[in-house]
Amino acid sequence: MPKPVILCVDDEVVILNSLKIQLKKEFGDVYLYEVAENANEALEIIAEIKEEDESDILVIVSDWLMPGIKGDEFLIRVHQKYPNIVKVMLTGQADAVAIERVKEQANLHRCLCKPWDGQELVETIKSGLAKI
Amino acid sequence: MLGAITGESIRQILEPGDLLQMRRAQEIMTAEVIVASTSTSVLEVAKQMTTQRKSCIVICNECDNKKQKPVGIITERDIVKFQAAGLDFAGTRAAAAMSFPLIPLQITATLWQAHQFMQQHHIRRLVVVNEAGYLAGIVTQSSLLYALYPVELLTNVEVLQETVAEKIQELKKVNEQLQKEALRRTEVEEQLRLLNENLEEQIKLRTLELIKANSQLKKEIQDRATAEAEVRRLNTELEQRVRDRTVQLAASNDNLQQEISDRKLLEEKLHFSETKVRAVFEAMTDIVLVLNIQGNIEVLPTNTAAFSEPYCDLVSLTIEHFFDDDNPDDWWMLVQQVLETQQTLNFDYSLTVDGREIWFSACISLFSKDAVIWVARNISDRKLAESALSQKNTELAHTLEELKRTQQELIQSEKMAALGQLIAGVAHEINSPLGAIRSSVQNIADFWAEQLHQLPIFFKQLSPERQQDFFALLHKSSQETDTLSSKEKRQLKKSLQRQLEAEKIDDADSLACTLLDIGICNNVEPFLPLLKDRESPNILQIAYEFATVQKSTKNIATATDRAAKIVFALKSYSRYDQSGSKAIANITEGIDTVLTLYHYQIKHGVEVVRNYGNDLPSVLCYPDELNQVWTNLLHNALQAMGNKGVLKIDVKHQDNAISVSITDNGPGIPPEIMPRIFEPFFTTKPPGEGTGLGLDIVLKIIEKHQGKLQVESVPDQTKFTVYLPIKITDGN
Repeated sequence: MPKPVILCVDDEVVILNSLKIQLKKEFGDVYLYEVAENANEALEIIAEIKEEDESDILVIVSDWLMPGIKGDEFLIRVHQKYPNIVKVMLTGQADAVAIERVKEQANLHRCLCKPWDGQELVETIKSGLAKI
Repeated sequence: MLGAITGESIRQILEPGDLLQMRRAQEIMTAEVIVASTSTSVLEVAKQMTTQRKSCIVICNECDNKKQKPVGIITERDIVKFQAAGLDFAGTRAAAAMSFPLIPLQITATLWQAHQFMQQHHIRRLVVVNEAGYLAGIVTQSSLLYALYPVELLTNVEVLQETVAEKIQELKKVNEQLQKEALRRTEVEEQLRLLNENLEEQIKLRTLELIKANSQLKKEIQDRATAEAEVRRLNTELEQRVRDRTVQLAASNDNLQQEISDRKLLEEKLHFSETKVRAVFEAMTDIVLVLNIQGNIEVLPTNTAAFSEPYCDLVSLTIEHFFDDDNPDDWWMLVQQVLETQQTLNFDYSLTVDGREIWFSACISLFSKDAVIWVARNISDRKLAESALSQKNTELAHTLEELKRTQQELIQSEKMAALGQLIAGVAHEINSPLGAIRSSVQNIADFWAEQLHQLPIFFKQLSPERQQDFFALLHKSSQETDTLSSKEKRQLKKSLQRQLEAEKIDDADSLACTLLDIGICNNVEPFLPLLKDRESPNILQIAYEFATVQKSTKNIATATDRAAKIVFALKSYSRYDQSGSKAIANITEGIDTVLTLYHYQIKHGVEVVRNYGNDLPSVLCYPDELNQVWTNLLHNALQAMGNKGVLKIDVKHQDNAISVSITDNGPGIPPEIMPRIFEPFFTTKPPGEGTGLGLDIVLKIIEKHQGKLQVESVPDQTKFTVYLPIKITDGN
């Protein structure tokens, strides 16, 4: 039985590395941790996991300002196909309009600002998982 | 006397025919005629003939006594004929039996005519009618014969003889009268002849008289002619004299005329000159005085009232001022000065009227050797205008000052706006590394806090083989350079997972992930004994944590570098040069700084092509101001491109200048707005986003550097080129 997945999306590798370390430290081997450097890659991963591995993606943590598809649009697309995935946004520059859009159209769980607090991130994911 | 007529002679020459012609029907006709009406019977007619003893009866229409129109006649012969024919006398009416038509004879017709009628118609009786056609009588052959009755003829001759005798008597009388008359006429003629002779005599006398008179007249005429010739001669002489005189008069008249016209011209000139002078004075609103050395003042008649002050006589006031002992300016001194130096003098003075100063500008010039002309003009209005002007100037200077300040503020605000836009992007750029640093530091801190005291125990418990494995893992971890993309890593992870599953190792997916994080990418073979060890999870966990510490350290280093780079760019961008003086700077460094600040925008789809020339000299410039130029131009370019496409930056050394071209492949500047792009406050951005000052400030900064800015724009290629002289002259 494949493990559920937490997916992190950010164009900065250092961010992805940090996030992964933090999450793995907190949740250990209960989940699998996938990272993507942009929204397209993330969508590929999601499709792959859903179709091939038949495992569940529970949480997506996404940056907003990324090359190509931006965070808000990416999360809205995901939501249209998988409304149950918990969506968290993590951004260094918050575009209020974009965030509002994600809240309305993608049922955004929370938006965190960079530099983020590790504990806050963990609590956010936990509270998101609790809703499922 | 030719002969004599006697009764015998007449009888001899007379013929019966002639006699018939001499008498009329009237004379011989029988007026007593028996008439009967047309309705009378023939019997009645026959009876009447018998009783009346008439041979004929005239049948008339009307049977009254007087007026009877005869229509027919019945004679004895007719009765005989009727009887022989056996006619019923009683039953036949006269009208049916009478002879008709009746041939009537006019009462005035001659007996000859009556005779002719009878001969012609073979009748013996003729009914005579008057002019109206009524019955007058009847003429028969027997009555004609009576007319030629010789006794009657003799009577007639006698009558004629008597008549002739009478006539001769009458003629004799007339002849006598005529002879008397002739006699009388002869007497008269004698008288006339005498008269004529007398007249001729008189005429002769008269003629003589006339001839005499004529000769006298002729003489007189001759005398007159002589006199006339004399008169004519005298006249001619007079005329000549008149002509001569006229010529003389004409000449003298011409002279006079000339003189008059000269006088008139002179007069006109004088009049015109006077009028002109008067008009000039009239047109002048100045006070004009002629002052002589004796202290006399003459006022020239100028129109001072026109522009004068209301309710005061400025001329009088001025003159009073000459004689005012309290006058601090001795105007006579000035007059004296002009007379002496013979130089025109100008000065301004004021008169106080009702506590108000009225200003004049006076000009004193030489008029004659002992007099000057004083022209004073009221310049109160000018003074007022000057004062107003001066006030306006001050206001304008003030406004200019304010405008300059406002401009400075606007420039500053534009700079701040540009900076604000930058900062928004920069925030993201800095917050990302900060987040990474914070997270990594936390990880390291946690590692030390949690693992440090357990590590000695952990190492003590490790078997020598596992210890070797552990250090091999740490070695691998330190070798890890993290150059792979997340996608590549995932492929590797999957391959690892499959290897582990092949080795029937539990929890292969998480284990593969951990191994990859430690740095074991493909060759898992050497570590299979470790992985199959009972202590494997713990050993791997510790090794993983060591690896994360190492990774966190690298993360921190990378993030710090990024943040430092951004901060450096910000610092160089906003380098605040308080002296405002020029500094030697490298142009491309400034451009790169700005590009670094725009990194977050550029990296998401913009390819920057830098064509920097070799050996570009440094330039003495205002570096932070130039940074603002690059910021504005690059910002505009990126915005025009929608942050996608190719941004070309060419920096070249050309002669004594450096040219910087920034070319974007955006849609281009529409031609209709091209002329306006340098206008202050012109912007195509939505309200609140742009001040519209960007390019204006760019232009000002370039002008400050004595440089030039060129724009060329077509769709897909908009190029702003800045030319900066390498050496700019001071004093700007």
